[in-house]
Amino acid sequence: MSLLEIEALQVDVDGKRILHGVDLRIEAGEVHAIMGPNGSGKSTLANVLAGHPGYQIVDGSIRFLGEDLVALPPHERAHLGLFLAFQYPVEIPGVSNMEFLKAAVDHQRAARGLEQLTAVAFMKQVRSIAETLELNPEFLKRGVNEGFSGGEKKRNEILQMLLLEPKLAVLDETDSGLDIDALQVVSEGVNRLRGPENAVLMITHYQRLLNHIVPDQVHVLAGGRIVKTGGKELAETLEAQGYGWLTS
Amino acid sequence: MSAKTGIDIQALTAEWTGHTRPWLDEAAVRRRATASLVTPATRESWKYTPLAGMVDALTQAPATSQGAWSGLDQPGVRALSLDTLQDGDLALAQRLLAQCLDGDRHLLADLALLRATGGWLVEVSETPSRPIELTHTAAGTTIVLLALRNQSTVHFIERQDASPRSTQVVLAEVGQGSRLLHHRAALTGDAALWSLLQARVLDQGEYSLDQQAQGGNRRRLETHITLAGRGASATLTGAYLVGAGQHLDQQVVIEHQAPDTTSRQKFHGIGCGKGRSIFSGRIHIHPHASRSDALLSNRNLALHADAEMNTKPELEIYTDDVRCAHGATVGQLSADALFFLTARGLPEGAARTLLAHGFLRECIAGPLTDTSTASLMAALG
Repeated sequence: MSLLEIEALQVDVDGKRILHGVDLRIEAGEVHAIMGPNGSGKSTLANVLAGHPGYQIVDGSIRFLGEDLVALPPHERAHLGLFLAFQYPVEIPGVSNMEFLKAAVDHQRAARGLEQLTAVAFMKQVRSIAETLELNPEFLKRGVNEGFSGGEKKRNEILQMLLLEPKLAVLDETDSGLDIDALQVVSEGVNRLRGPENAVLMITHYQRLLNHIVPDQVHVLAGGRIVKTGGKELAETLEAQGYGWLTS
Repeated sequence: MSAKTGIDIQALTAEWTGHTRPWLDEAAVRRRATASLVTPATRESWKYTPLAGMVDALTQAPATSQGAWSGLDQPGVRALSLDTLQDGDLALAQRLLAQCLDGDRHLLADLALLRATGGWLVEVSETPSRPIELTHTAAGTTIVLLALRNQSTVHFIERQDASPRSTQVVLAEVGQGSRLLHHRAALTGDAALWSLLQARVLDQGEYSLDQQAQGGNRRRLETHITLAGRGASATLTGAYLVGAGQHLDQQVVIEHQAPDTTSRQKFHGIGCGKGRSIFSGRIHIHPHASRSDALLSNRNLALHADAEMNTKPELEIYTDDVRCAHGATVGQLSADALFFLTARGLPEGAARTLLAHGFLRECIAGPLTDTSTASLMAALG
């Protein structure tokens, strides 16, 4: 059984077809990258996986750990071990980062039949992860992403990922807006998640991310379909030649 | 009698004259109340809350005050019963009444003054180390005149303690360079409540308000700040919640009367049942109040389809060279934020609750934060 199996997936947004039949299979332990021109459907795929209500699945199927993902609401997908690192993380003033993180961990642990972490154990874990991501602990007291820079928001996403330990992490342009140092820190965070039980699906425009997080497979999504699949060298070719040779 | 309101001030107040009130010019106040019954301002102000019902509640409340005070026994703080005032203190009380309670918008305040059999004059001449606290413990009619002098700073905490049918008037003069930091919680009790805070802020003086409120049977909170001196400022922050069958009417007026005055207002409210909320925020920039700087933000969430959230920001500007902005919204929880939280594993109900709590907490501050937050969050569920 594959970790993730997408078959002939067709998706509409506001009545307009965005994905025209996507097939993708990811095994545990693998890292996949999806690249493609603007408007090709990359973020649509990420949002559909997480269960965004604004996307309508018209045809096809998504199975995650053998379960029909489409039938599940977003929170149950998260409980199964699916994580979406948002391209544009939302700001939630009035809800502290710490309160939000504790609520997320508590719900996920409860759903998985695990004992709740004590407040002390939880704080210790969060602070430890924040330190590795060079996130000032003061950020934990502030509203979720409130007043964070773009780079801080992305690091906060990775902090959530490491805390929740998902089976599959979908990173939607996590590298956008990051400077070189921040890219390094975030990449190290993602690499820490990698293991035989986990998988990562990265959506990116740039080959530079793949220098830090080396993928097993690279897919090109264009016109709502995966038009090419290859190894890391495919990303290097795209960097050099663009997408024209694949889409013309 | 006013044909439109059915209220006869003379008849209503005729039996309230037995008590001697040397601090009050009863005839003048009665004339002013009678005149204000029929003004357009009064009609507009009482559009959503039945005036006759509130007057009825005022009439039924005892004429005595039931407030419990603390913090009056500090150096630099003088507290006197209005009935005992003499000479300079009496003159001070009369001046505060005349200067703070101006205009034609305070019919209820005038009735409360005519109704009350007593009250307090509190004068602060140096900064006390502890807050001055007033808890409204039972039904009554409370009059407080508060004067801050000598650049003193006072934390004034005002609580409602499940008091039925209460009428409360606090008139404050914030002297030159003084600071009145007012913390007001009206969270308990389900009977009629009408409360007025009217502050007159002199040169470089500062008034700030942290207010947390829940709806009740008939509940109306009025805050009227006059920035009367150059460089005076006011900062008002409020969180409120209206549940099923509840009514909450908040009227806020900021008058910029002097140059270089500043006001900031931020109020967040939630309607979580078939109730009615009214928020009226008026900013009035007078002639000669150049370089006034005023901002008003009032955001409301209607979490229930039948929740009625009325918001009315008003700007009246009679001079150039000012900076004014206001915004008022009534909406739902952010769909993006909701998806973000559910994608992290929170069931939709828990996500909605967390977002609603956060929305209110953005506007909860001050020493009553813990108790007010607990009360509002418990009511919100």
